[in-house]
Amino acid sequence: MDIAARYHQVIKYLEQPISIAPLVVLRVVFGLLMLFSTLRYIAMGWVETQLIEPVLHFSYYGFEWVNPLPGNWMYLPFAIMIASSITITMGAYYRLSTILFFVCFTYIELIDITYYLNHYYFVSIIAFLLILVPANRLFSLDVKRNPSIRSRKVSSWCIDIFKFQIAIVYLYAGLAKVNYDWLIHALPLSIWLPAKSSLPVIGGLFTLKATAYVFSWLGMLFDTLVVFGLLRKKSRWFSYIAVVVFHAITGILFQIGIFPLVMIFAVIIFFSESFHQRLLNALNKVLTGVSLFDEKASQLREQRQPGFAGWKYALLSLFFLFQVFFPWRYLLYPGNVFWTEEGYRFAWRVMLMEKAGTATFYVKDGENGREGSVINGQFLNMHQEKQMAMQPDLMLQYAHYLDRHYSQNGMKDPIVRVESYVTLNAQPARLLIDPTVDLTQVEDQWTPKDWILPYSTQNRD
Amino acid sequence: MNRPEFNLLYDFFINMKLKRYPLLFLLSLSLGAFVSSCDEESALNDVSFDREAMLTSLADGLIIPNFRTLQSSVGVMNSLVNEFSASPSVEKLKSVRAAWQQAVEDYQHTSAFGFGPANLPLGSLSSVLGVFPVDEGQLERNIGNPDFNLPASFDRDVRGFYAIEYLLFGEDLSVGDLVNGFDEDRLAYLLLLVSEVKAIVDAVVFEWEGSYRDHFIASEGTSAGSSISVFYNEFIRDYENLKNFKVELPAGLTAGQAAADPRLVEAYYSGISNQLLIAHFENSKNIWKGLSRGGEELIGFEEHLEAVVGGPTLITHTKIALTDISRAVSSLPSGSLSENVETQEVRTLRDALQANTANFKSSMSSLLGISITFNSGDGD
Repeated sequence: MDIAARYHQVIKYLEQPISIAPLVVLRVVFGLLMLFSTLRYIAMGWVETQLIEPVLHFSYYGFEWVNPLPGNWMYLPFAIMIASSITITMGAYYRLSTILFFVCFTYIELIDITYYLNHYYFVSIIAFLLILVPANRLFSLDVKRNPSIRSRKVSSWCIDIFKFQIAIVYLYAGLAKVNYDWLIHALPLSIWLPAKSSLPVIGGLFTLKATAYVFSWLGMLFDTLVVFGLLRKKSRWFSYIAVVVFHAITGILFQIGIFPLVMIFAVIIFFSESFHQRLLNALNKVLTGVSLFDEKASQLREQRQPGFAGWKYALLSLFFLFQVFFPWRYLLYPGNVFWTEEGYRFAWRVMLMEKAGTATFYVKDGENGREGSVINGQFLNMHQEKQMAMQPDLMLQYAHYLDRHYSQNGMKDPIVRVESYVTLNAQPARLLIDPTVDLTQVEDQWTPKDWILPYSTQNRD
Repeated sequence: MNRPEFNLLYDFFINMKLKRYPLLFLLSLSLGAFVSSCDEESALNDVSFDREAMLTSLADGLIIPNFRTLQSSVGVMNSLVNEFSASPSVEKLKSVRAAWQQAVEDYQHTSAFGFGPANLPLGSLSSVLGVFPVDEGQLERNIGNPDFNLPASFDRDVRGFYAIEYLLFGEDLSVGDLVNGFDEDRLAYLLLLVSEVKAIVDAVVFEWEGSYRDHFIASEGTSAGSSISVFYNEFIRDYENLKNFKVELPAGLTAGQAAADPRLVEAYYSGISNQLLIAHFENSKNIWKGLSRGGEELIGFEEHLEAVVGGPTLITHTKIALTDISRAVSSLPSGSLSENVETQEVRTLRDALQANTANFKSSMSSLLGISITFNSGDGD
């Protein structure tokens, strides 16, 4: 078959009209979850402690220009997220709402990299994808206002992009677990599970070494295989139960907030059109009488799907190329990615290692040669310090901050170095960064960081 | 409906003839890995440790007894200060000083326990009662100020043990002059400070003897907010206070300091800094090793480490580091620390304390799986 015909076939597949129901359910569920998660974030006081109070914030590479808003203005994007997650749920001013939500959520994530979580990244991605699809064409206030946009069908790509994204998340998370420590030593679960031995009923099991092995292997298998199970009708329910059980267990075991819920609900998109239609019918019944969602008025007007939108294909192609290839960049760096963390983030490496460090910075006055150590608590909160103390690029950022800070306080040409003892997967702590290197002379770049000391496994227990 | 892009990988499994039994196949692989790695000696024992027993042991053998000891010495100090204020004399001042000295030494054995009942509205115990240096100017202004209200004040450096010390010892004053200087206002302020210390310590003991002990023991998880997590955080903070504020800062070894600053030592006026350093370190060691103040064996973090992957190695490292600190503390020059802040011995002590920080702070929490903050780690 020639390429043109093949291309034509692909486009035909992507454009083929399918039921909009799964997309509508995703919109409603996502909106509600984000409303809950935003309210929870505020209720925990995290706007205050994570965004307003810190003296300094750690930036994402290339996003150094993103800064927090002054004082209580920081609540503004949260107010916008509350409003937009409600309007997303109801399908009102849909495009504007999704854009606002995506921008605010991503902005907040970009303020401080020490709060980086793969699932925040996932939420940003879903919000971004939602901007591009017409999830408001059924069961929405937008349809109520303008019945002409009503549609029971969407192009199949509108739903497949979400499935594909979720597939990447699980598959890559699974492949990341295919490593020596995880499978052969059952690490870090051998550390984490015994710490949870006080849980009722199952707690006792966690003291058994075999449990860590079973969990490690099942976790790896689950992540790599679940999407294939979800795609096939025969295995879908079984796989979904596995999803619920898996995320429920990790949710109980680890303090990971709302993320088990996000995945449990996001995965619903894999269910059949009729399943989603039944969900919507049920919801419709509940809301009968609430005239906002009364569909009868517009029942007769079915608008055809808008056709091909070239810019969306271009954008999505680029986006998924990035999604598929960016996580593999770690292969281009020498050394152990768990140790150097070069290419670690944005690759769906979740709950994969137990790593912790103590980083003591020394600042030397370039003029009189007097050197003193830094009390990290004066600049960082506990969470920031903990994250910084095991991630080389964050130590570098902090060193540059200290350089500026002490220069402003009158020190001439500060020389900043760090003594960082880091333990990885229960190995004895060793130096992560060359303690003789003046970090003020080093710039963060894409190139390998030669000031990171290599991780040798020779003195493994 | 078939979705071609996903079928590719599925076909892969079919072609591998693993379609029916991929799970079985991989599970048997995992079993194989488990069995084969059992031959290695790499800490594959089942891990079983009774955290409740550890919390009980530390509460009953260390924390509560140390607070009780503090309560009784603060009680003695309080009654002696009352006697002194009734009719000030050199003799009485001397016995008040001795009582203060006992109380502040006992306090060192509690400063790491600033959680639960000892987490006060103004902050943890040590950040309320153990703050130095004292703001002498503000303190003097408070004394004559009829509007000053200690309970309503947020200032931490005008209250607690070292503000009392300032009043009892003064600077470059003979005992006689000091006693003569105690007018009504000064006596009132002294009484105010001592009674605040007493009220706080009494309340802490009362709560520990009441419901808090059971609450402390029952919360035996390791997540943020659990007993072991809040205790651990205070333990680390207290250890770092010892290094940062009692040694490094007066010695001028903190970044940005142009010189040593003898006035920053703990207990500057009485000159008993060394003695307090020793007591402070003793308590850190007791918590880790699981020892009562009197030296009886308890269950501490060391015992907990014995039970986990990688623990025995960390224990070895920590013990070496602790021995180094003990040696460094005991070789401090005699006389008051403020006169010796620039000696090599103080530097050595700082280095020894520094060398152990990673053991206590990051390696131990990592091996024990203790969550330090609420938002830690990455979700799955």
